Amino acid sequence: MPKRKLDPLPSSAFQILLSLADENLHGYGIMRQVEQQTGGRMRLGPGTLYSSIEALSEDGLIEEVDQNTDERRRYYRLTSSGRKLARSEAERLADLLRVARAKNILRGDYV
Amino acid sequence: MSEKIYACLLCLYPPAFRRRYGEETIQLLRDRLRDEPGCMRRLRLGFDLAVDIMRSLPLAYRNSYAEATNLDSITQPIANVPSFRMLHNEPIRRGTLMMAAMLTLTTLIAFGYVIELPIPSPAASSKGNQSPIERVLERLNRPVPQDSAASEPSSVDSKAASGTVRRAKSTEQSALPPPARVDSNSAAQTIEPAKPIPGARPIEAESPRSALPGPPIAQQKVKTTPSGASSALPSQAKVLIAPPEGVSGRWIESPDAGEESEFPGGLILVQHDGALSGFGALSAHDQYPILHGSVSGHSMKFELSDGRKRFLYSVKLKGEELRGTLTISSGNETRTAAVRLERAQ
Repeated sequence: MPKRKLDPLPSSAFQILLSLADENLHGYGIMRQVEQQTGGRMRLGPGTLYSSIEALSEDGLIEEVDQNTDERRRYYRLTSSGRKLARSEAERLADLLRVARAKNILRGDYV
Repeated sequence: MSEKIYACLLCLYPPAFRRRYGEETIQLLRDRLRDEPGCMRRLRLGFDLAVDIMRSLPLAYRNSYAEATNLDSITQPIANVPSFRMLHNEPIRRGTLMMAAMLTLTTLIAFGYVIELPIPSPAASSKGNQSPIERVLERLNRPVPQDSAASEPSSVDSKAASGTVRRAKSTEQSALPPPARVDSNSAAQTIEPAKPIPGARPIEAESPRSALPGPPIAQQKVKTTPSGASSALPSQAKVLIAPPEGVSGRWIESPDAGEESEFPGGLILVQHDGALSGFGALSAHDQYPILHGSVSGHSMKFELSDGRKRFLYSVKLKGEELRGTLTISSGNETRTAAVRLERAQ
């Protein structure tokens, strides 16, 4: 019995879920989107990207879709359970942010 | 990092991963190579890919379990029809490794047990396999056919006790002279010649005449035939001229009350043709031949070794007992203890 791979949710998997929140993307598009939304701090390699995509697909958090734009590429979209998981993870991070702000670790520059 | 190199590195990933995402990973690499020109950016790309392979390999192997589960659900076995499962897509599981380790250990233990068993001998009786020590004991205890000159039947033990020895020809001892009859009284019996034990040297006499306080045992107990066989012995032949009477047999170490046995086991001493050979035996499988020794009257000194320790016995025959000391040498350590051996019945 395999151990659950997304408990806790890795940051790369969370970034992939976030990147698919607005539109369906293929692998390279996900990589670019993650790079953009992290300000270039996270650049997913092919191995990490597709291993995370496979893990998310196995858990039903994302799924393949037919875009019919490029047969060589597979497109992925966020499922409802994936969106729910991304929301809960974001709320968890928001709670952490509130705690950090209450402890005066963060200044008002952040949200 | 070129596309070909990365394609080769992809072979490190599970087959299921390569089948499903191999083309896409190559395509992603092509896209990055196209979008990231320049030497520095290529170097950074190569570094990123190397780090990525090291980080993603474990994750890829963990993910491949899912495909095996899906295969099980797809390929349902049909009743009464043999089916096969393709295992090459699955990584080796911990249970499989544990089972392999257990089977290997069991096989090694079984092999070790088998090679410890006594080797079947064509001379073995119908009882089954016999070890060399058992064969010697059987020969010692075997009733011998009565000699035409003998008037009373007896066993080997009584024969030894009576001190009557009839030398028989031993074809394997070329150093010995032709068969000679040695009689001490008229009740002569025949001792079947014992086969020499491989590796065991006969005990050499230690000045048999001068060491004895009285008349030598050779003169007391052993009388050669007129053919003069004893006198025909080579002067340097390593045979026991006058072994203590009745030494042949099995001797079991019997520690005194409260003492611990130093060499738990015993001795097998075989007297034949005026020579005495033998070995120490811890068990039927651990037997060590007597290396060398000497006899003076009823006192004997002989040494045997198990490869690590050397055991020097200095014992004296007293009735049915051998009493004396045992010196055990192991490296620089030497210790001496009293020893008492009883004749095994």
